[in-house]
Amino acid sequence: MTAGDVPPEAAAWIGRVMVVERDGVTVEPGSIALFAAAVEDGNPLYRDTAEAAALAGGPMAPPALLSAWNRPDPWMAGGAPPSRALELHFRVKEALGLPKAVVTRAETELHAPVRPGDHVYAEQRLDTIGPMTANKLGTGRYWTISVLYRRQADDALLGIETLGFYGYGGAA
Amino acid sequence: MTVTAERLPERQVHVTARHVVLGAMASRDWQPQHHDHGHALTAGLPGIILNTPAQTGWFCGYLTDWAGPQARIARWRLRMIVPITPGTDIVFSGEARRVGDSGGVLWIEADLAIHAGATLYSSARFLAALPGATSPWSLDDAAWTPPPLSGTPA
Repeated sequence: MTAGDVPPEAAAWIGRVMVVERDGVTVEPGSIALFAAAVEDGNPLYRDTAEAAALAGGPMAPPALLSAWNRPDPWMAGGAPPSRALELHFRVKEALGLPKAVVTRAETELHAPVRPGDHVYAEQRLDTIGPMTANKLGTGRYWTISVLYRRQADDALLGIETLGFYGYGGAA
Repeated sequence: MTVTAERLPERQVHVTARHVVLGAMASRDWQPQHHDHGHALTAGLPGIILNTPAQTGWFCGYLTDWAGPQARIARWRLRMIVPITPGTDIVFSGEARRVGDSGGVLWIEADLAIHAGATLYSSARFLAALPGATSPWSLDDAAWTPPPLSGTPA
């Protein structure tokens, strides 16, 4: 679904997987523990190997970290420029001429648990672009991107995240 | 465990800069509106804001604190209405209700909210499986078939 005034470049992306992001980090207990501490979550599935094994076949990552594992580091040795987290979102911003954006809604469905040792890759798909509108942040557009997260070892589906954005701040 | 409709106990959190910055860093989110106050102001925000994974993580922990680690979260829908910034005293609240049984598990929906005073900052609707005849964690991909969420949170 799209509005008729969407630039053709961006309109052509709708419904297609435009970016496959394979960079990222191995899922590991230290990162899991740090996030659990950040949100003060004492769930034993994230920190107690024995209890997690008894309850759920082993420890796992908090589901809220689904999108985190293939976000690139903010700096890379050797000066190689890091790729951008949710690259398709930045391409949409650029194509629409809307340099600022905030997340307005997020929907997620979970499949297989993400576990220590997993490597995750993400398929980024543009679903919708809305018409020009205005709110307190300024004139802009809403758009929606779905990200399908899969385990690199066997392509198992780990989850699907659908993110709604509002982009604004374009030239008047 | 039988759940018809139950109100979750409230939880209060005084949001600090550490919550915001650590939540962003621990979820590998380097966007400056989550750690750079000046940038956030320039972007029209009231300050650095709690990022999406951190808000989700707070909601997930709030739900599983009540439901227990046997609960397997299946889906959620998040509405972020007012940016959450350091210095805000937020209160988590929620209500869970049973929405069906299938595959040996009990499905619940939980409507969760974050308020500061009378203002709704964020809301979320979660779907989770609780143990019935079987543990939801024992279901493989073929047997894990969560129903859709019934609607949008308030």
